[in-house]
Amino acid sequence: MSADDSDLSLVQLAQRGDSGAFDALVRRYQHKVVKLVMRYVRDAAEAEDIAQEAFIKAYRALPRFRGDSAFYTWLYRIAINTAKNTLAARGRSPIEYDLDGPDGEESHEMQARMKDTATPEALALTEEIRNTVTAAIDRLPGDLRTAIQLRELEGLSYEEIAARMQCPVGTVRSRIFRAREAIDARLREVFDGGLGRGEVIG
Amino acid sequence: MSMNERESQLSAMYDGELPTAERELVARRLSRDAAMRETWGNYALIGAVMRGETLASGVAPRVAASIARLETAAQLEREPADMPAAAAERTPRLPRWAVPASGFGLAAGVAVVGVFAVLWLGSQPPTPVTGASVAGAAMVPIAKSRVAEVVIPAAPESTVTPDEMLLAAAEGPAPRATSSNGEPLSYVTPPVEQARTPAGPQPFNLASYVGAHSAVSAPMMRHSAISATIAVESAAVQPEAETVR
Repeated sequence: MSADDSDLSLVQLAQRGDSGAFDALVRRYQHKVVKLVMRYVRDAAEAEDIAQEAFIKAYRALPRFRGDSAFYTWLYRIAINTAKNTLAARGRSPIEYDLDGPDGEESHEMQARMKDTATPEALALTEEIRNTVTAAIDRLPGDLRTAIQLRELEGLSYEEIAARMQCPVGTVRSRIFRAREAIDARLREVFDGGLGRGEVIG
Repeated sequence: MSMNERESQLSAMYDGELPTAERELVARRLSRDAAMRETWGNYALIGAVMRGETLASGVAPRVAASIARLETAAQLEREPADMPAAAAERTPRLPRWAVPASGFGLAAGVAVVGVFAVLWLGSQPPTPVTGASVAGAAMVPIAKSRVAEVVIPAAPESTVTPDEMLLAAAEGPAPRATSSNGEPLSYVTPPVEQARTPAGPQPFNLASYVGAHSAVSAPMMRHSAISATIAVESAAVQPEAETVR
Protein backbone atom coordinates (compact mmCIF):
# COMPACT_ATOMS: atom_id res chain seq x y z
CA MET A 1 0.00 0.00 0.00
CA SER A 2 1.19 3.50 -0.80
CA ALA A 3 -0.04 6.99 -1.56
CA ASP A 4 0.08 5.96 -5.22
CA ASP A 5 -2.77 3.53 -4.60
CA SER A 6 -4.89 6.31 -3.12
CA ASP A 7 -4.05 8.51 -6.08
CA LEU A 8 -5.03 5.78 -8.48
CA SER A 9 -8.50 5.52 -6.93
CA LEU A 10 -8.97 9.27 -7.40
CA VAL A 11 -7.48 9.19 -10.90
CA GLN A 12 -9.92 6.49 -11.95
CA LEU A 13 -12.82 8.60 -10.71
CA ALA A 14 -11.44 11.70 -12.43
CA GLN A 15 -11.04 9.75 -15.68
CA ARG A 16 -14.77 9.11 -15.51
CA GLY A 17 -15.37 12.87 -15.37
CA ASP A 18 -15.43 13.36 -11.60
CA SER A 19 -13.97 16.85 -11.16
CA GLY A 20 -14.14 16.54 -7.35
CA ALA A 21 -11.69 13.66 -7.49
CA PHE A 22 -9.31 15.72 -9.61
CA ASP A 23 -9.67 18.62 -7.18
CA ALA A 24 -8.51 16.29 -4.40
CA LEU A 25 -5.43 15.44 -6.46
CA VAL A 26 -4.70 19.12 -7.07
CA ARG A 27 -5.07 19.95 -3.38
CA ARG A 28 -2.67 17.18 -2.55
CA TYR A 29 0.04 18.17 -5.04
CA GLN A 30 -0.27 21.93 -5.57
CA HIS A 31 2.49 22.75 -3.10
CA LYS A 32 4.86 20.20 -4.61
CA VAL A 33 4.19 21.33 -8.17
CA VAL A 34 4.77 25.01 -7.40
CA LYS A 35 7.96 24.09 -5.61
CA LEU A 36 9.03 22.13 -8.70
CA VAL A 37 8.23 24.98 -11.09
CA MET A 38 10.15 27.42 -8.92
CA ARG A 39 13.28 25.68 -10.17
CA TYR A 40 12.69 27.27 -13.55
CA VAL A 41 11.17 30.66 -12.90
CA ARG A 42 12.03 33.45 -10.49
CA ASP A 43 8.63 34.90 -9.93
CA ALA A 44 6.24 33.32 -7.40
CA ALA A 45 3.08 34.42 -9.24
CA GLU A 46 4.49 33.09 -12.51
CA ALA A 47 5.22 29.76 -10.81
CA GLU A 48 1.59 29.55 -9.69
CA ASP A 49 0.40 30.35 -13.22
CA ILE A 50 2.57 27.61 -14.69
CA ALA A 51 1.47 25.15 -12.00
CA GLN A 52 -2.14 25.95 -12.83
CA GLU A 53 -1.50 25.39 -16.52
CA ALA A 54 0.24 22.11 -15.77
CA PHE A 55 -2.76 20.87 -13.79
CA ILE A 56 -5.12 21.85 -16.61
CA LYS A 57 -2.95 19.99 -19.10
CA ALA A 58 -2.95 16.97 -16.81
CA TYR A 59 -6.74 17.11 -16.55
CA ARG A 60 -7.07 17.17 -20.33
CA ALA A 61 -4.55 14.36 -20.77
CA LEU A 62 -6.04 12.26 -17.96
CA PRO A 63 -7.96 9.92 -20.30
CA ARG A 64 -4.59 8.87 -21.75
CA PHE A 65 -3.02 8.17 -18.34
CA ARG A 66 -2.73 4.40 -18.09
CA GLY A 67 -1.29 4.12 -14.61
CA ASP A 68 2.05 2.69 -15.81
CA SER A 69 3.79 5.15 -13.50
CA ALA A 70 2.65 6.91 -10.34
CA PHE A 71 0.32 9.85 -10.87
CA TYR A 72 2.79 12.31 -9.35
CA THR A 73 5.61 11.10 -11.62
CA TRP A 74 3.38 11.71 -14.61
CA LEU A 75 2.29 15.12 -13.27
CA TYR A 76 5.91 15.99 -12.51
CA ARG A 77 6.85 15.53 -16.18
CA ILE A 78 3.92 17.61 -17.35
CA ALA A 79 4.85 20.42 -14.94
CA ILE A 80 8.48 20.48 -16.06
CA ASN A 81 7.54 20.49 -19.75
CA THR A 82 5.01 23.25 -19.15
CA ALA A 83 7.59 25.37 -17.36
CA LYS A 84 10.18 24.84 -20.11
CA ASN A 85 7.70 25.53 -22.90
CA THR A 86 6.48 28.68 -21.20
CA LEU A 87 9.99 30.01 -20.91
CA ALA A 88 10.81 29.07 -24.51
CA ALA A 89 7.67 30.85 -25.73
CA ARG A 90 8.77 33.98 -23.90
CA GLY A 91 12.29 33.75 -25.27
CA ARG A 92 13.78 33.13 -21.86
CA SER A 93 16.01 30.38 -20.59
CA PRO A 94 15.50 28.62 -17.27
CA ILE A 95 17.26 30.22 -14.35
CA GLU A 96 20.56 28.70 -13.34
CA TYR A 97 19.87 26.19 -10.64
CA ASP A 98 21.56 23.07 -9.41
CA LEU A 99 18.84 20.48 -9.90
CA ASP A 100 20.99 17.80 -8.39
CA GLY A 101 21.66 19.68 -5.19
CA PRO A 102 20.33 18.55 -1.83
CA ASP A 103 16.66 19.26 -1.16
CA GLY A 104 17.48 21.37 1.87
CA GLU A 105 19.60 23.84 -0.12
CA GLU A 106 17.12 23.89 -2.96
CA SER A 107 14.29 24.67 -0.64
CA HIS A 108 16.28 27.39 1.10
CA GLU A 109 17.19 29.19 -2.12
CA MET A 110 13.72 28.90 -3.58
CA GLN A 111 12.13 30.23 -0.45
CA ALA A 112 14.49 33.18 -0.52
CA ARG A 113 13.40 33.90 -4.12
CA MET A 114 9.77 33.56 -3.18
CA LYS A 115 10.13 36.07 -0.44
CA ASP A 116 11.58 38.47 -2.98
CA THR A 117 8.72 38.08 -5.45
CA ALA A 118 5.60 37.37 -3.38
CA THR A 119 3.29 40.19 -2.39
CA PRO A 120 3.48 41.47 1.22
CA GLU A 121 -0.05 40.18 1.86
CA ALA A 122 0.83 36.71 0.60
CA LEU A 123 4.00 36.65 2.65
CA ALA A 124 2.15 37.72 5.78
CA LEU A 125 -0.50 35.06 5.27
CA THR A 126 2.10 32.38 4.63
CA GLU A 127 3.99 33.36 7.73
CA GLU A 128 0.81 33.21 9.76
CA ILE A 129 0.01 29.73 8.45
CA ARG A 130 3.49 28.48 9.25
CA ASN A 131 3.36 29.92 12.75
CA THR A 132 -0.08 28.45 13.38
CA VAL A 133 0.91 24.97 12.23
CA THR A 134 4.21 25.05 14.09
CA ALA A 135 2.55 26.22 17.29
CA ALA A 136 -0.12 23.53 16.98
CA ILE A 137 2.53 20.84 16.53
CA ASP A 138 4.41 22.09 19.55
CA ARG A 139 1.28 21.73 21.64
CA LEU A 140 0.67 18.12 20.58
CA PRO A 141 1.26 15.31 23.07
CA GLY A 142 4.67 13.75 22.50
CA ASP A 143 3.45 10.46 20.98
CA LEU A 144 1.24 12.25 18.49
CA ARG A 145 3.97 14.68 17.52
CA THR A 146 6.48 11.89 17.06
CA ALA A 147 4.09 9.84 14.95
CA ILE A 148 3.29 12.66 12.54
CA GLN A 149 6.93 13.73 12.31
CA LEU A 150 7.99 10.23 11.42
CA ARG A 151 5.33 10.16 8.76
CA GLU A 152 5.72 13.63 7.23
CA LEU A 153 9.42 14.26 7.66
CA GLU A 154 10.88 10.80 7.30
CA GLY A 155 8.18 9.35 5.08
CA LEU A 156 7.89 6.11 7.05
CA SER A 157 5.01 3.73 6.55
CA TYR A 158 2.61 2.97 9.40
CA GLU A 159 4.28 -0.37 9.88
CA GLU A 160 7.72 1.20 10.14
CA ILE A 161 6.44 3.81 12.58
CA ALA A 162 4.79 1.07 14.64
CA ALA A 163 8.11 -0.74 14.81
CA ARG A 164 9.92 2.44 15.78
CA MET A 165 7.37 3.42 18.41
CA GLN A 166 6.76 -0.13 19.53
CA CYS A 167 3.00 0.04 19.21
CA PRO A 168 0.33 -1.53 17.00
CA VAL A 169 -0.24 -0.17 13.48
CA GLY A 170 -3.77 0.78 14.49
CA THR A 171 -2.36 3.01 17.21
CA VAL A 172 -0.07 4.70 14.74
CA ARG A 173 -2.99 5.36 12.45
CA SER A 174 -4.93 6.81 15.35
CA ARG A 175 -2.05 8.98 16.55
CA ILE A 176 -1.37 10.43 13.14
CA PHE A 177 -5.03 11.14 12.61
CA ARG A 178 -5.39 12.83 16.02
CA ALA A 179 -2.31 14.96 15.36
CA ARG A 180 -3.71 16.12 12.02
CA GLU A 181 -7.13 16.67 13.48
CA ALA A 182 -5.72 18.97 16.17
CA ILE A 183 -3.64 21.00 13.72
CA ASP A 184 -6.52 21.20 11.21
CA ALA A 185 -8.84 22.41 13.97
CA ARG A 186 -6.38 25.13 14.90
CA LEU A 187 -6.02 26.22 11.27
CA ARG A 188 -9.80 26.49 10.90
CA GLU A 189 -9.98 28.39 14.15
CA VAL A 190 -7.39 30.94 13.03
CA PHE A 191 -8.36 31.25 9.37
CA ASP A 192 -12.05 30.48 9.66
CA GLY A 193 -11.86 27.91 6.87
CA GLY A 194 -10.44 30.54 4.51
CA LEU A 195 -7.33 28.64 3.47
CA GLY A 196 -7.04 27.76 -0.16
CA ARG A 197 -9.21 30.61 -1.38
CA GLY A 198 -6.60 33.32 -1.62
CA GLU A 199 -3.16 33.65 -3.04
CA VAL A 200 -0.84 31.84 -0.71
CA ILE A 201 2.74 31.44 -1.60
CA GLY A 202 6.07 31.74 0.07
CA MET B 1 -19.70 5.19 11.15
CA SER B 2 -18.82 8.23 13.27
CA MET B 3 -17.37 11.45 11.90
CA ASN B 4 -14.16 10.69 13.72
CA GLU B 5 -13.89 7.28 12.11
CA ARG B 6 -14.48 8.79 8.67
CA GLU B 7 -11.73 11.35 9.19
CA SER B 8 -9.47 8.66 10.52
CA GLN B 9 -10.10 6.80 7.26
CA LEU B 10 -9.36 10.00 5.33
CA SER B 11 -6.05 10.45 7.14
CA ALA B 12 -5.09 6.85 6.41
CA MET B 13 -6.20 7.31 2.80
CA TYR B 14 -3.95 10.37 2.53
CA ASP B 15 -1.02 8.26 3.67
CA GLY B 16 -1.95 5.41 1.33
CA GLU B 17 -2.52 3.12 4.32
CA LEU B 18 -6.14 2.21 3.72
CA PRO B 19 -7.20 -1.28 2.57
CA THR B 20 -8.30 -1.41 -1.07
CA ALA B 21 -11.95 -2.08 -0.28
CA GLU B 22 -12.20 1.03 1.91
CA ARG B 23 -10.10 3.13 -0.48
CA GLU B 24 -12.67 3.08 -3.26
CA LEU B 25 -15.41 4.12 -0.85
CA VAL B 26 -13.40 6.99 0.65
CA ALA B 27 -12.31 8.18 -2.81
CA ARG B 28 -15.94 8.44 -3.88
CA ARG B 29 -16.88 10.24 -0.68
CA LEU B 30 -13.94 12.60 -1.08
CA SER B 31 -14.87 13.45 -4.64
CA ARG B 32 -18.42 14.40 -3.59
CA ASP B 33 -17.75 16.16 -0.29
CA ALA B 34 -16.15 19.61 -0.58
CA ALA B 35 -15.67 19.92 3.19
CA MET B 36 -13.84 16.62 3.19
CA ARG B 37 -11.58 17.90 0.41
CA GLU B 38 -10.89 20.99 2.49
CA THR B 39 -9.67 18.75 5.29
CA TRP B 40 -7.68 16.73 2.75
CA GLY B 41 -6.09 19.94 1.49
CA ASN B 42 -5.18 20.94 5.05
CA TYR B 43 -3.42 17.61 5.52
CA ALA B 44 -1.29 18.49 2.49
CA LEU B 45 -0.70 21.98 3.88
CA ILE B 46 0.41 20.60 7.25
CA GLY B 47 2.92 18.30 5.56
CA ALA B 48 4.23 21.15 3.38
CA VAL B 49 4.73 23.41 6.41
CA MET B 50 6.47 20.65 8.35
CA ARG B 51 8.85 20.03 5.45
CA GLY B 52 9.43 23.74 4.92
CA GLU B 53 7.98 23.57 1.41
CA THR B 54 6.34 26.16 -0.73
CA LEU B 55 2.76 26.94 0.22
CA ALA B 56 0.50 27.40 -2.75
CA SER B 57 -3.03 26.79 -1.61
CA GLY B 58 -4.29 29.33 -4.15
CA VAL B 59 -3.66 27.01 -7.09
CA ALA B 60 -6.48 24.54 -6.40
CA PRO B 61 -9.35 27.08 -6.55
CA ARG B 62 -7.96 28.53 -9.78
CA VAL B 63 -7.63 25.09 -11.36
CA ALA B 64 -11.18 24.22 -10.29
CA ALA B 65 -12.48 27.45 -11.83
CA SER B 66 -10.58 26.81 -15.08
CA ILE B 67 -11.91 23.27 -15.31
CA ALA B 68 -15.44 24.54 -14.71
CA ARG B 69 -14.98 27.02 -17.59
CA LEU B 70 -13.59 24.26 -19.82
CA GLU B 71 -16.54 22.02 -19.04
CA THR B 72 -18.99 24.84 -19.78
CA ALA B 73 -17.25 25.65 -23.07
CA ALA B 74 -17.24 21.97 -24.04
CA GLN B 75 -20.93 21.78 -23.22
CA LEU B 76 -21.63 24.83 -25.40
CA GLU B 77 -19.59 23.32 -28.23
CA ARG B 78 -21.62 20.14 -28.09
CA GLU B 79 -24.96 21.96 -28.03
CA PRO B 80 -24.80 23.72 -31.45
CA ALA B 81 -24.17 20.36 -33.13
CA ASP B 82 -27.42 19.09 -31.66
CA MET B 83 -29.32 22.28 -32.30
CA PRO B 84 -30.30 22.08 -36.02
CA ALA B 85 -32.12 18.77 -35.73
CA ALA B 86 -33.89 19.79 -32.55
CA ALA B 87 -34.81 23.18 -33.95
CA ALA B 88 -36.15 21.61 -37.12
CA GLU B 89 -38.37 19.39 -35.05
CA ARG B 90 -39.70 22.30 -33.07
CA THR B 91 -40.26 24.70 -36.00
CA PRO B 92 -43.49 24.03 -37.93
CA ARG B 93 -42.57 23.71 -41.60
CA LEU B 94 -44.81 24.89 -44.47
CA PRO B 95 -45.25 22.63 -47.50
CA ARG B 96 -43.02 23.57 -50.43
CA TRP B 97 -45.97 24.85 -52.48
CA ALA B 98 -47.13 27.04 -49.63
CA VAL B 99 -43.92 29.03 -49.38
CA PRO B 100 -44.49 31.26 -52.48
CA ALA B 101 -48.18 31.36 -51.69
CA SER B 102 -47.47 32.63 -48.21
CA GLY B 103 -45.17 35.30 -49.65
CA PHE B 104 -47.87 36.35 -52.09
CA GLY B 105 -50.43 36.41 -49.33
CA LEU B 106 -48.18 38.63 -47.26
CA ALA B 107 -47.61 41.04 -50.16
CA ALA B 108 -51.33 41.13 -50.94
CA GLY B 109 -52.12 41.84 -47.31
CA VAL B 110 -49.69 44.72 -47.25
CA ALA B 111 -51.15 46.11 -50.50
CA VAL B 112 -54.72 45.96 -49.18
CA VAL B 113 -53.71 47.70 -45.98
CA GLY B 114 -51.89 50.33 -48.05
CA VAL B 115 -54.93 50.99 -50.27
CA PHE B 116 -57.24 51.34 -47.29
CA ALA B 117 -54.75 53.59 -45.56
CA VAL B 118 -54.57 55.87 -48.61
CA LEU B 119 -58.36 55.95 -48.93
CA TRP B 120 -58.79 56.64 -45.27
CA LEU B 121 -56.16 59.37 -45.21
CA GLY B 122 -57.65 60.99 -48.31
CA SER B 123 -61.15 60.91 -46.88
CA GLN B 124 -60.32 62.19 -43.41
CA PRO B 125 -62.30 65.29 -42.60
CA PRO B 126 -60.46 68.31 -41.35
CA THR B 127 -60.62 69.07 -37.70
CA PRO B 128 -63.77 71.16 -37.12
CA VAL B 129 -62.91 74.74 -36.48
CA THR B 130 -66.26 76.47 -36.88
CA GLY B 131 -68.64 74.26 -34.92
CA ALA B 132 -70.74 71.16 -35.20
CA SER B 133 -72.57 72.23 -38.33
CA VAL B 134 -69.35 72.34 -40.29
CA ALA B 135 -68.22 68.98 -38.98
CA GLY B 136 -71.56 67.39 -39.80
CA ALA B 137 -71.58 68.77 -43.27
CA ALA B 138 -68.15 67.40 -43.98
CA MET B 139 -69.13 63.74 -43.99
CA VAL B 140 -71.96 63.70 -46.50
CA PRO B 141 -70.38 65.09 -49.64
CA ILE B 142 -67.20 63.08 -49.18
CA ALA B 143 -69.08 59.85 -48.98
CA LYS B 144 -71.23 60.62 -51.95
CA SER B 145 -68.40 61.83 -54.08
CA ARG B 146 -66.77 58.45 -53.54
CA VAL B 147 -69.78 56.34 -54.44
CA ALA B 148 -70.79 58.42 -57.44
CA GLU B 149 -68.98 56.09 -59.83
CA VAL B 150 -70.08 52.81 -58.24
CA VAL B 151 -72.51 50.76 -60.29
CA ILE B 152 -74.35 48.11 -58.33
CA PRO B 153 -75.61 45.16 -60.40
CA ALA B 154 -79.33 44.61 -60.41
CA ALA B 155 -81.27 41.69 -58.99
CA PRO B 156 -80.54 38.16 -60.30
CA GLU B 157 -83.96 37.86 -62.01
CA SER B 158 -82.84 40.34 -64.59
CA THR B 159 -83.22 39.15 -68.16
CA VAL B 160 -80.09 40.96 -69.24
CA THR B 161 -76.95 38.84 -69.14
CA PRO B 162 -73.66 40.19 -67.87
CA ASP B 163 -72.29 40.08 -71.40
CA GLU B 164 -75.09 42.28 -72.61
CA MET B 165 -74.44 44.68 -69.80
CA LEU B 166 -70.77 44.89 -70.73
CA LEU B 167 -71.66 45.42 -74.37
CA ALA B 168 -74.09 48.16 -73.44
CA ALA B 169 -71.47 49.84 -71.34
CA ALA B 170 -69.05 49.76 -74.24
CA GLU B 171 -71.56 51.40 -76.52
CA GLY B 172 -71.88 54.38 -74.24
CA PRO B 173 -74.82 56.06 -72.53
CA ALA B 174 -78.16 54.54 -73.30
CA PRO B 175 -81.71 54.82 -72.04
CA ARG B 176 -82.13 53.38 -68.59
CA ALA B 177 -82.82 49.65 -68.84
CA THR B 178 -85.41 48.04 -66.68
CA SER B 179 -86.28 44.47 -65.83
CA SER B 180 -89.64 42.87 -66.38
CA ASN B 181 -90.84 43.78 -62.91
CA GLY B 182 -89.96 47.42 -63.41
CA GLU B 183 -86.79 47.38 -61.31
CA PRO B 184 -83.79 49.10 -62.91
CA LEU B 185 -80.98 46.87 -64.03
CA SER B 186 -78.47 48.98 -62.20
CA TYR B 187 -78.37 51.67 -59.62
CA VAL B 188 -76.47 54.86 -59.97
CA THR B 189 -75.95 57.21 -57.10
CA PRO B 190 -77.18 60.75 -57.60
CA PRO B 191 -74.80 63.26 -59.13
CA VAL B 192 -72.37 64.82 -56.74
CA GLU B 193 -73.74 68.28 -57.22
CA GLN B 194 -77.17 67.22 -56.00
CA ALA B 195 -75.78 65.85 -52.78
CA ARG B 196 -73.62 68.77 -51.86
CA THR B 197 -74.62 70.80 -48.93
CA PRO B 198 -75.65 74.10 -50.32
CA ALA B 199 -74.38 76.20 -47.48
CA GLY B 200 -71.10 76.26 -45.52
CA PRO B 201 -67.46 75.71 -46.51
CA GLN B 202 -66.26 72.85 -48.68
CA PRO B 203 -64.60 70.59 -46.09
CA PHE B 204 -63.33 68.09 -48.62
CA ASN B 205 -61.61 70.79 -50.62
CA LEU B 206 -60.22 72.22 -47.42
CA ALA B 207 -58.92 68.85 -46.34
CA SER B 208 -57.43 68.24 -49.74
CA TYR B 209 -55.76 71.62 -49.73
CA VAL B 210 -54.27 71.00 -46.31
CA GLY B 211 -53.21 67.50 -47.30
CA ALA B 212 -51.64 68.63 -50.55
CA HIS B 213 -49.79 71.59 -49.14
CA SER B 214 -48.91 70.56 -45.63
CA ALA B 215 -45.22 70.26 -45.03
CA VAL B 216 -45.79 67.38 -42.67
CA SER B 217 -48.15 65.31 -44.81
CA ALA B 218 -46.76 62.20 -46.43
CA PRO B 219 -46.13 62.24 -50.21
CA MET B 220 -48.73 59.50 -50.69
CA MET B 221 -51.31 61.56 -48.88
CA ARG B 222 -50.46 64.64 -50.95
CA HIS B 223 -50.85 62.70 -54.16
CA SER B 224 -54.15 61.22 -53.04
CA ALA B 225 -55.50 64.56 -51.92
CA ILE B 226 -54.56 66.27 -55.20
CA SER B 227 -56.11 63.46 -57.25
CA ALA B 228 -59.30 63.61 -55.23
CA THR B 229 -59.54 67.35 -55.59
CA ILE B 230 -59.15 67.15 -59.36
CA ALA B 231 -61.81 64.46 -59.55
CA VAL B 232 -64.31 66.43 -57.52
CA GLU B 233 -63.70 69.62 -59.45
CA SER B 234 -64.16 67.79 -62.74
CA ALA B 235 -67.41 66.37 -61.47
CA ALA B 236 -68.57 69.81 -60.48
CA VAL B 237 -67.88 71.18 -63.95
CA GLN B 238 -69.54 68.32 -65.85
CA PRO B 239 -72.20 66.77 -63.61
CA GLU B 240 -74.08 65.23 -66.52
CA ALA B 241 -71.19 62.90 -67.37
CA GLU B 242 -71.55 61.13 -64.04
CA THR B 243 -74.63 59.18 -64.92
CA VAL B 244 -73.61 56.12 -66.78
CA ARG B 245 -76.71 54.11 -66.98
